[in-house]
Amino acid sequence: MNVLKTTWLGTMLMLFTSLAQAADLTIEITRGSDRATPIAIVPFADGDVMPQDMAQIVSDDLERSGYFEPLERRAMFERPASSDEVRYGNWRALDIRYLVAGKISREGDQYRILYELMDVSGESRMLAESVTAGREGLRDAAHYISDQIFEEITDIRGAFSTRIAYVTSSGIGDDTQYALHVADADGRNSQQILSSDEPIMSPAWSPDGDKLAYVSFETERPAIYVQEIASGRRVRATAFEGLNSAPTWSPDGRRLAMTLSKDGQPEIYVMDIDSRDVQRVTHSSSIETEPAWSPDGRSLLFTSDRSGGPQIYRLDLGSGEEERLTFTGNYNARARFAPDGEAIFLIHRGSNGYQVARQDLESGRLVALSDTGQAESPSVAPNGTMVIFATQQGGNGVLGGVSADGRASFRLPAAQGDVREPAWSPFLN
Amino acid sequence: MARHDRRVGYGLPLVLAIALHLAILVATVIRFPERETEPPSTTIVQATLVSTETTTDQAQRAEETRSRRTARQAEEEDALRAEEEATREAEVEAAKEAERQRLAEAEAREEARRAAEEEAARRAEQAEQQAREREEAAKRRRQAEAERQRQAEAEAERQRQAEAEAERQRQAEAEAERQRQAEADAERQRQAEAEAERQRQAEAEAERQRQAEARRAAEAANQSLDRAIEGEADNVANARQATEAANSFINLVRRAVEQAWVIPPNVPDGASAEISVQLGPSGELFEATIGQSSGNSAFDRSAIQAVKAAAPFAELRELPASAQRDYRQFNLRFRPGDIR
Repeated sequence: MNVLKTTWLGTMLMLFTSLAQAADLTIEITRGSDRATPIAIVPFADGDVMPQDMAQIVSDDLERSGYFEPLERRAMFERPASSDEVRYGNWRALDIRYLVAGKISREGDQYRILYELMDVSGESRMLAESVTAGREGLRDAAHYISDQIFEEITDIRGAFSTRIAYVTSSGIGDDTQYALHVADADGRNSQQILSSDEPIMSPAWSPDGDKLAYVSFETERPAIYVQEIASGRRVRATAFEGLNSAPTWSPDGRRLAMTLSKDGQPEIYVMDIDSRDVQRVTHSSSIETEPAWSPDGRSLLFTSDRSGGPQIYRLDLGSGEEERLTFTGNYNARARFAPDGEAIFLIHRGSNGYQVARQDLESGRLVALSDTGQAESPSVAPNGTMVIFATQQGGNGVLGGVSADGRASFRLPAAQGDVREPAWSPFLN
Repeated sequence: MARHDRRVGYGLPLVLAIALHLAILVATVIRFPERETEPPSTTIVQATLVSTETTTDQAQRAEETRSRRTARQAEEEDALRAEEEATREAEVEAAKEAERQRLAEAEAREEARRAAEEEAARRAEQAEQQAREREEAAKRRRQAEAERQRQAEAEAERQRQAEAEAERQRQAEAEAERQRQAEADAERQRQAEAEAERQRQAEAEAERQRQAEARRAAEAANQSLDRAIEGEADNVANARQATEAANSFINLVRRAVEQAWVIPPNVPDGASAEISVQLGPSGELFEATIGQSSGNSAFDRSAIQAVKAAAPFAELRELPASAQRDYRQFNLRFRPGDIR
């Protein structure tokens, strides 16, 4: 009994001593590597020639996000098809943190993709799922897998299955042709939904992702149209005298904010879509334009030159109060809210020209994200991790992207002609 | 003279006796004139009495003056006569009296001489007796004195001896105390010297160990460098790490973990996670557990992964043996600084 007691006491003492010792030394880690997270997406094992390289689509998706650094295939000296076959030491030696492996089996005209996500340092499987798709749905299936992996690792919903709308122009002078396109978020599967020999501008996604609002000069005067993407059916929403521009949907999808000059100079108006009633919400003697809804639908961002140059203001729709938000530099325009409403993305003219920038609303700190000097029309991914924008490359307009923290930037594959005015869709599923 | 020869002590009594006789004789001769002047003094006493009467009754004096004057004249004539008579009778009587007195004096002188001689003898005897007694007493006193002195001396001697004894004892004790203190001092000094010696040895040992450590680290670094020079690209990192270990194990751990830490995207501001790390004796990772979660699972996992990717911390073995145990358990607090 006494021996037991003594042993117990001794054990407790040792435990406390070790705990106390553990509390003694704490090393502060305040800096991380500049690199993105190393990940390996092993080509999926398949018994057939696949119409799409699924693993490559996933790898490209993750790389484009800026947060992952996929391992080159030629550096892989084993190609496991499932977690059972993984020898973790090999991957740890390559400093790989996550591993994706999968295999595809064909059942009729359907493909069944079984993929697994492994934590290399923990030597554990984090995710295993089976996805079935037809031949045409393989890219979507790959984007879906990318979304699942991204969310499992980062706790952030993936936005790889979303789409983008953009305007292209081709030709010169009077022969210039304009077109409105919708494509996958990686720029593939592009689809032309409108073409015109007059300018098309400012496409905007409805919150449900089914419709686009845009400005078309097809009647030689600007008018705002709303078009169903799937059916192509469209209606003209406004055709007021003067400017009809920059439509954006309210989060509830029942209203459109826009810029009209029917009362003189450009001002911000809100239209109720059902009744087509239009209400003016800004009343200054200067130019107000480029409205953008807050995620809660209670306020609008807009650009105004009332201070002498373009700056970003916020209008509270309930009280009508206006507040200037940007004070860094003398050009800040085309603002968009981050999905969490805590920051805005905008075009800021700094020492490097026109750059995509992010301003934290609480601190007011503005950080330039893109390195290009000719950025315009930023649009934020629905998960807030990326911003796409229009920029210039070799005299042509192209689409660029940058991660919301500025660590990664990318180019979307070049579409035909001059590409401008990208708009990122909301989550579509 | 013969008596003088026999007893020297009788001289003084004899002189005293003669002196006494002479004194008595002188006293006798001197007393005569005093007796002869006594009658006039009696008359003066009478006259004094009369005057006293008159002074006591001054009122009557004026009334009685005349009668008294006549009476006094008669009385003066009678008194003169009576006085002549009395003078004659007194002269005869005085002559007879003088004769009687001469005889009486001769007899008295003889009587006095005898008495004086007897007295002298008696006094001499008495003086002799007293002298003897005094002699005796003195003798006794001397003896007693001697005795007292002996006793006092003995006492003093005893006291001296006692004091000397006490002094000796005190000195002995003081000596013993001095000796004890000296021994204690010596012991303390011995101990201090031993301690200092131990400390010197320990420091020397520590210094030797440090130098050995530094040598080992330098050798390890050199060896790593050698290997690196041989062409193994991986060993370049090892060589660098070995040199760093010689500097600071903690800095090495920090650097290694920071290098391995891939901060996930969109980390909430102020995110912080604490990872408890336990190493094996060779610096291999025993365990990396989340001590304090950031609340963001991606962030927590990135921290764990960073530790696992940075391990093993083989440089642990290059620490002094005593320190190795202390560094086998520590915490890593992941708190991104200024990231965009």
